[in-house]
Amino acid sequence: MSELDAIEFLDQQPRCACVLLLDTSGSMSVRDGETTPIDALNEGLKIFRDELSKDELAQKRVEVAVIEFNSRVNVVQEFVQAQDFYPPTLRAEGSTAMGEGIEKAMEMVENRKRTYKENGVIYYRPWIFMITDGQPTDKVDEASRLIANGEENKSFAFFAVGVQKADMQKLAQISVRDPQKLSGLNFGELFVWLSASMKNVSQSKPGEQIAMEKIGWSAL
Amino acid sequence: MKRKYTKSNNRRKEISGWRFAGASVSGTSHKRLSLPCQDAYHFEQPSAGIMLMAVADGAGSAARSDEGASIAVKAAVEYLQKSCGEYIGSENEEGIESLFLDSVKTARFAVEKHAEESNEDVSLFACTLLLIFAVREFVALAQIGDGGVVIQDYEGKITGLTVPEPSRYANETYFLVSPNAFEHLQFRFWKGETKHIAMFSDGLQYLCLRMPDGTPYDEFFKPLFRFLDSSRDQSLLEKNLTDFLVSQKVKAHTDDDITLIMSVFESYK
Repeated sequence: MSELDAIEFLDQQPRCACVLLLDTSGSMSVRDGETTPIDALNEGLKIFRDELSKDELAQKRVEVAVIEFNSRVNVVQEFVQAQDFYPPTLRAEGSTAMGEGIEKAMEMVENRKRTYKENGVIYYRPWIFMITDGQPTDKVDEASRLIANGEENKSFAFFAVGVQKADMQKLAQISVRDPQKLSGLNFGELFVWLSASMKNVSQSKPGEQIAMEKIGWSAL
Repeated sequence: MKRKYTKSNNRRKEISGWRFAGASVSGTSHKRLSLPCQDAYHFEQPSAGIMLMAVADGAGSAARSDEGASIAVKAAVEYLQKSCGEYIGSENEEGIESLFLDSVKTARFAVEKHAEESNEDVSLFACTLLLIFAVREFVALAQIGDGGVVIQDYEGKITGLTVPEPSRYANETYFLVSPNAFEHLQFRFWKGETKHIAMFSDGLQYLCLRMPDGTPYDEFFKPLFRFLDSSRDQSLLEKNLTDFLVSQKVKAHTDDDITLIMSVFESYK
C-alpha cells in the first residue's frame, strides 16, 4: 500500500448551468405524420438525459433546468445536476408567452450564479436554450434587450431553435446568435448535439473558446 | 506519453538539500479529442540546496500549446539558473522579484521566437507559467494563469502560496503570451524554512484547493508529502505517482491534463 491511497479529494466540480426554455403552446400538439412536435420534444428530453448520463463528469458538472411557456410561464424543473434530472412529460396548450419565458430564464440563471458565488463554486458561462414552433404572443422587446446585454457581458449564451412554422425572422431579432431551424421533428439529433455541447463546455480547458459541435439537425 | 522535461544531473546529495519527484499525465478529455498532453514541467538543481521548478499548462484551444509549455518551462528555469546564485543568503526580495520578471520575459520571448520561426501566430502556443526558486530559507514564486503551489513547514503546517485569479468562469485564465500577461503576473516571496513543496497544474486545483480562496486541503497534501518521504528512489516515486494520476480514483474527478511535481528538503547528519 502506498501513502497515495490515503489521499482525499475535495468535491467541488465546476458547474455549467443549462436552461431548457421550451415552447408548449397549442400548436406543438398538431400532428405531423407519425407524431406531434410535443411528443417528439418529450422523447428528445429523454435522449438528452441518456446522453448526459453516459459521461461521468458531465453528470456532475452540468445542471439542467426546464421552463415551459404557453399562455403562462412555468418552471417545470429547478436546476438539478444532470445525474438527478428526470425529464418531465410536457403537454401543449395555449399561446406563446415567449418574452416572459426568456425573462424568467435569465432570472433563474442570475439566481443560480449568485448561489454559485455564495458557495465558492466555480462555473462556466450558463446556456439558455430556447425551442419554439411559433411566434411570441407577448412583448419581446425587453427580452431581446436583455439577451443583447447578457451576450455582450458574457453573462450567458442564448440559443434559439425554430421548429416547423416558427417565425425565424422574429427569432433572429430576439437572439444575438443566429437562430437555427430544426429539420423536421429531429429532436433526437438536436438533443444529442446539445448534450455533446454541454460535455464540451463542462470539460473545456482554461481560457478555451469552445468549438461548436457540428450541427447536423438544422434545416438552414 | 511523451515526456517534456530533461532530468538534471542526479548528483548524490551528501549533506543536505532538495530532492525531486514529478509526473505529468494526459487527461481523458484530451485523449477523446486526440490532443497531446499539453502540460510541461522542468526542474534544475544548480546545487543541492537550490531547487528551481516550473510548470506550464498549454491552452486546450491553442493547437501547439504543448510546444509553448515545454519551451516556456525550460527557458524560465534556465534563466533563473544563471543568476539565482547571487541571491542566496541575501533574501533580497526586490532583487528576486526582478529576477523572476526577467525570467518570465525570457520565457515569453522564447515562445514568441519559436512562433516566429514556425511562421505561426504566437497565440497558438498559449500556456500558463508557474515558477519557483526555493532554498531552505525561502520560497519565491511567480505565476501567470492558474495552477498552484502548496508548502509544508517543519511543524507540519500546510500553506498555499498561490491565490487563484478571480475569474468569473471556470474556463478563463491568463497566458504567458497574452497581451496583458504582465498585469496578471503574481509574485510571492515566502520567508520561512520549508520542508515540502508541491506544484501542480489546474487539473488538480479543484481536488486539492478549497475554492474560491484556494486554501489547501490537508487531507490531500499530508499523505502526498508522506509519500514523497517514503522513498528516495526518484524513478520508483515517479512511477507510483503516474499510476496514481491515471487511476480511476483521479479520473472520476477530473478529465484534464495533470502535472504534479514535488520537492522535499532533507538534512543528513
